[in-house]
Amino acid sequence: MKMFYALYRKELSGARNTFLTLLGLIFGFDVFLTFRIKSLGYNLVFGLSFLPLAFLCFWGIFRPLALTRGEWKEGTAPFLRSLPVDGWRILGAKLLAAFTEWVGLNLATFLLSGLFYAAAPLFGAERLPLMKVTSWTETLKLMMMIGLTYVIGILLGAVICQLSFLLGRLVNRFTGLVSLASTILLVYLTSKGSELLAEILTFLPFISIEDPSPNLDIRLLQSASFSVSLALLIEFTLLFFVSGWVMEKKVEF
Amino acid sequence: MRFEIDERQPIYRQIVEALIRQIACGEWPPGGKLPSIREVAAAARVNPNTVARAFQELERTGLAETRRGEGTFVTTDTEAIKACREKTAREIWTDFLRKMRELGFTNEEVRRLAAELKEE
Amino acid sequence: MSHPVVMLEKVEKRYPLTKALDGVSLTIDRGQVVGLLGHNGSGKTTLLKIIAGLKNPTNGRVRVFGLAPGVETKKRVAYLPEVNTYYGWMTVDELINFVKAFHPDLDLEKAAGLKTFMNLNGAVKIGALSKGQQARLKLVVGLARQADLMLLDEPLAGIDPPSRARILEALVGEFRQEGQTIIISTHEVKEAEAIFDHVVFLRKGRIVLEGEAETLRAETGHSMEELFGEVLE
Repeated sequence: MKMFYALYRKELSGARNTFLTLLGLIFGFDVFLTFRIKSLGYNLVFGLSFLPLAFLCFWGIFRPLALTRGEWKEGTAPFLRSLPVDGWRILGAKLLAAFTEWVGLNLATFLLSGLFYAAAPLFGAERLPLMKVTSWTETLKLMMMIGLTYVIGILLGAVICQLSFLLGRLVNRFTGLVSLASTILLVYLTSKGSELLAEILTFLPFISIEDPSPNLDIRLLQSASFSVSLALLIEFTLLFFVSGWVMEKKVEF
Repeated sequence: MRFEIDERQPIYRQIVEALIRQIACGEWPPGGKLPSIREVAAAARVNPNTVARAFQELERTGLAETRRGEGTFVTTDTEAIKACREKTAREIWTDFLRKMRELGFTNEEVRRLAAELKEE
Repeated sequence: MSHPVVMLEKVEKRYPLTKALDGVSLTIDRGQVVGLLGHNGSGKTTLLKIIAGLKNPTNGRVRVFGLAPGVETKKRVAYLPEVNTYYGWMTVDELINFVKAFHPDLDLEKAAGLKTFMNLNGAVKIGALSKGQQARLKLVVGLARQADLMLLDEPLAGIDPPSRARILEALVGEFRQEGQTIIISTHEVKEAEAIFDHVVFLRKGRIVLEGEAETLRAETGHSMEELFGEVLE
């Protein structure tokens, strides 16, 4: 545990500059938007303040890959591997650090959007009306559900990238090609697998969510359903163990 | 403490010889403490195992003794040191004579040469 | 029963186009300083990496302290590769603390003494160190630990003479732990040869000559440097 923590802290310190740069970019973007309220209008600016989320979706998937690849690019992989830790811990620390960073950046985006929302009167605009909901607990449940599926989806994407990279390292030539092919294959397999798993898992008792708002589409509920998150989680766990094993037993340094 | 080492010959023997020479000429006085194995190893940049072997050899000559936990000391037996000094001198002399014979010098000629060279 | 520190049996390492190691069998006992001598590309680095658990042999058996290389053996091994593999953004002290988290056997006091001996400032970022300083740093990290086995890949290659002298002195002087086994790969034999107990000459992935350095000197009347030239031509 102590070793995992040391690895995790190392990843966070190593990623600090990138993190701060991104944080600055998001902040700068929002500052830029405040100066554009007059020309673009408050509503559009408020909507645009959520734009970093779209970027962060990709960032969350590729960041752990970048951290892993960095060890080879910087030539630090042999040192890392000479430490008495197994492959799972090394990869896990990277995933967790990237995830911590990702959560931080998402929170920052939301926080700044929240500020925009709260500060509407300052710009002479009306606050946008909140959605009318019948039950707050149900809404919260629904949002948690969607959030959870999204987060697990990001993690699954991240682990696919990591594993593809490691598979590429197994060959001496055509490393990039093998990684690319592995990514395509793994994405295909996981999407087929999650469909199948989700179907099998439908027998599980669901956390039932009642439609919290009359103007919400029920399809959203379905996609966020418990079985899908669980299917993605199972796939994530499986691929994480495979990549740890590849790192531990197969990859050479 | 200096050691000139010729890597073509076993190093431990050269260290033994160097230490004997240093003891014989009083660089390490009778009853005094010799440098530690580590110190000699670091000074000569030689493997400590090699130095340890040299110290064992040195003890076998009776010129030094190791006291457990204290280090290695030069013997207090000044007679032994004197004897060793003489033995070393004899060895050098014998070696010298052998080389002279190889050049075809007789004892007479060597003696004459020694006297001539002394005058110079 | 005590195992030899390293035992290799017919170890082979094949790549698609080359053979890095071609049937290497070797036993290394505790407390020895072993010189792994060979030209570039003779398989020295591959051999050290296999012992360190960074590469897997294609064939053959590898045992370190009687175990297959893995997490357990890595706890007792200090592997110091030829190039700098430490994180450039860490300072010297941050690196020492980082290593300490994985190796409780690292002695911080000894590390401080070594830093002084090697003339390194703890607050400097590793990326800002010169090549010689980085080479000395490796020795600080390696020697501050009580590692039973130290693997040094080309510790002297391409660095300034004062740094070389410091490194060799540290390896035989007060900093070396009692009973520690050290394997040093090098193709520059002259400066280092007096610190070896045992030498292994490697050529194209095969051992061509192996033995006690002192015995070889007595038997052949040659220095290891001369033998290097003779058997590896």
